[in-house]
Amino acid sequence: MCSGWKHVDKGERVHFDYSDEELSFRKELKGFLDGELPVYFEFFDLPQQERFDRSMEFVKKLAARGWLTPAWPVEYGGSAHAPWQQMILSEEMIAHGEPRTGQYMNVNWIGPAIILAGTPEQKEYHLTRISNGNVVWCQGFSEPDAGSDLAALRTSAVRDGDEYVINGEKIWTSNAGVAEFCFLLARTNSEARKQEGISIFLVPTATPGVEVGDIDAVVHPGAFHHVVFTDVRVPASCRLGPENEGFTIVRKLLANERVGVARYHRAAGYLDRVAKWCDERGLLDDSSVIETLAHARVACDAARVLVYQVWDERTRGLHPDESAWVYRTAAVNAERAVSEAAFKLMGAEALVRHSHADNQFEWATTAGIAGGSYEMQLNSLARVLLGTKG
Amino acid sequence: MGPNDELAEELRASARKALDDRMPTTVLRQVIDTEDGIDRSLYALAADLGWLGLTLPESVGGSGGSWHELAVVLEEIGRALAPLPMIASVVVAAGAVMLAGDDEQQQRLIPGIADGSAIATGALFGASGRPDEPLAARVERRDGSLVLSGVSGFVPDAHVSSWMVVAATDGAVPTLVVVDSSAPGVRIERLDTTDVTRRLAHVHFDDVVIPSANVLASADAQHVIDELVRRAGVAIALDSVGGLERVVEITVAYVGEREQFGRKVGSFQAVKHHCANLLVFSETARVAGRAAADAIDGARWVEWAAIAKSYSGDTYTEATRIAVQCFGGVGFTWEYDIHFYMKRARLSQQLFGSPTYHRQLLTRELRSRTAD
Repeated sequence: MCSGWKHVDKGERVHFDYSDEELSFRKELKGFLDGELPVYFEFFDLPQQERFDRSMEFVKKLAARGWLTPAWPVEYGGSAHAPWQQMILSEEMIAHGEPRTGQYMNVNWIGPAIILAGTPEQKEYHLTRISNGNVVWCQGFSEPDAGSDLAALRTSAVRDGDEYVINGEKIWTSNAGVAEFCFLLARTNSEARKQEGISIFLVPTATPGVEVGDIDAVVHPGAFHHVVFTDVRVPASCRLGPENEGFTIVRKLLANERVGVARYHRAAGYLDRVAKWCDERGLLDDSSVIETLAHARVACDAARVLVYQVWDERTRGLHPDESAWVYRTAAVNAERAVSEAAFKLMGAEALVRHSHADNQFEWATTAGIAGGSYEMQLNSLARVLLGTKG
Repeated sequence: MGPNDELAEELRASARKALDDRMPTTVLRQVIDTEDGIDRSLYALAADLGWLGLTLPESVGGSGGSWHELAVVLEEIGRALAPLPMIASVVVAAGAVMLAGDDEQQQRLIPGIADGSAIATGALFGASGRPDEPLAARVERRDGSLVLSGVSGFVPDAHVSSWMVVAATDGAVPTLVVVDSSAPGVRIERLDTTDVTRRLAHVHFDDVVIPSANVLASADAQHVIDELVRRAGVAIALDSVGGLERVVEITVAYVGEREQFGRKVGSFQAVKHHCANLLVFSETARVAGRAAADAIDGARWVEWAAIAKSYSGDTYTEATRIAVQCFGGVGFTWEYDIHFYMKRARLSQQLFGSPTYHRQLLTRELRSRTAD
């Protein structure tokens, strides 16, 4: 098996190129995507409902080709033999506006969490639906007072016979408006240390007492929601994994969330547009223009090789927390560098609302906060480096 | 500290009170949702308080004050994010007529600016609104009249203007003409831009006839345009100084309240450094901005103008980025105010010359001085 990225090891060479097999997969995938979807920017610009409808239709086709969950074990609907296919998929998906919309989360870590900790019934029910591309999930993690300090969450799930009764509020829940299930973290033991009293629940959002509202955000309008749980009763069979061990499971899976979508690839795609804009105005002979473009390009490629390193470690069965943190900071830097390049080169034209430059600015603004702040990633790295508790 | 400082501080206190009363961000949020996005009654108050005529001569309805006082007002406007078309009307349009117009033009056009009964603007650049690109508007003589055609991009406050100073090419050289905003052939295409506290427009000219009385009689229009870029640039730098000051305050207040991990987030060293950097940016921008305001017409004016505009442009944007980082997710909700500053900073960075443009001016200026 020839893989795209080899671990940097004694005497072993590093290959930056994909194998012929992987390249032909990329080509086949691109051909399929070009036939199914408008180019990235047009797909991303579609009105929300239309984008969602087309996504649902598209993901089923992707699943039918075996391209939705290729990295999953075969018994759960994957092909299991091609870890790098998932990386290629991730890049090509975002290059086309992430047509899986919220379903990328299912593939990257919700499904894997169920594979890791689910009962046979949960696996049978949920994994089949996820790998067929039939279901949208949202992630009920952050709360108003539990952002960076996720383990401080207060949403409670109290056992009552064969049921749990859930109360609390979640924020920043993307896709909550359309999701059928919520992957919810809730406190099941308020006496224990804060990390040790949390459990995971797979909650159908149609359950009485679940209320979804919009967060009035200045970026990605319509993308963020809050979800209020008021005396929401779910059967105990909705709990994923043992009671009070939710945080341990999530911590393992969050390494996958850190890889997330291939932000650097989308940013690099937008940078191509900025370069084209400069070219059309005859600016590519200007050394400061070239320098600005190259600086941003390097930031994107740095993030790219770092995520390949994470992926390589993962395919070898390691849990690459450290490389994932390094990658995350590089991805944020790439988002910012491309946004700054657009402002620097395009001037006021980069400030037209809902333009692609404005969109890039939004990505750059949220990049250092969503899914764990930039400063938290640095803290984690510093803790590993310096061996201090913090 | 100069002899004027007591006066300046009085002016600051009264300006802050007026803007705190009349333009808290709760009101700002209503104003930005209106069609024109400005508060005309606040503009009238600005005229009553003497802000508009501050630097205009008494002979045309002003009070003959200095940029030292104007700086105070501009800082307070930036602090409050006040949606007032003051830089466009007073600094650019009235500035152009004072620099390049004759007595008749000054007497006809300036009193209305000083008393706030008219709003004007300057359309000084090409299609991208940058001083370093060719003009895209031109004048020609046709059947004995002067006719203007073409476009001027990203013009501030054009949508509420009654007249504007337009830079256009006349053959190979630039010229400045005054255009009635409602004249036949003038089309104002409103733009929706990131900064919701200010409005811009592309202004299209389709064979607009310019009366000869509206040609500004300056031999060297390019020189006047350059000077207007410097003045507007410094005015924006001062607006940014006020904004930076407020960004420090609200960020420090937030990280002093928000708790995570059982502590105020402001007690974490990473956040402390962010706050300290905000203060460094704010203090440096203030010193540079005020030095520029006091240097106007002096030997080092060109140099200070370039320093103030380029420094404030980069630090205001960087400071607001850091501030949003300190706020975390709520930093990009409508509910909190910090995003208004982040977006105002982005537009300020680009209007009337980017930091790169002004740094290039600075280098040229320093080199020419060495050559002398």
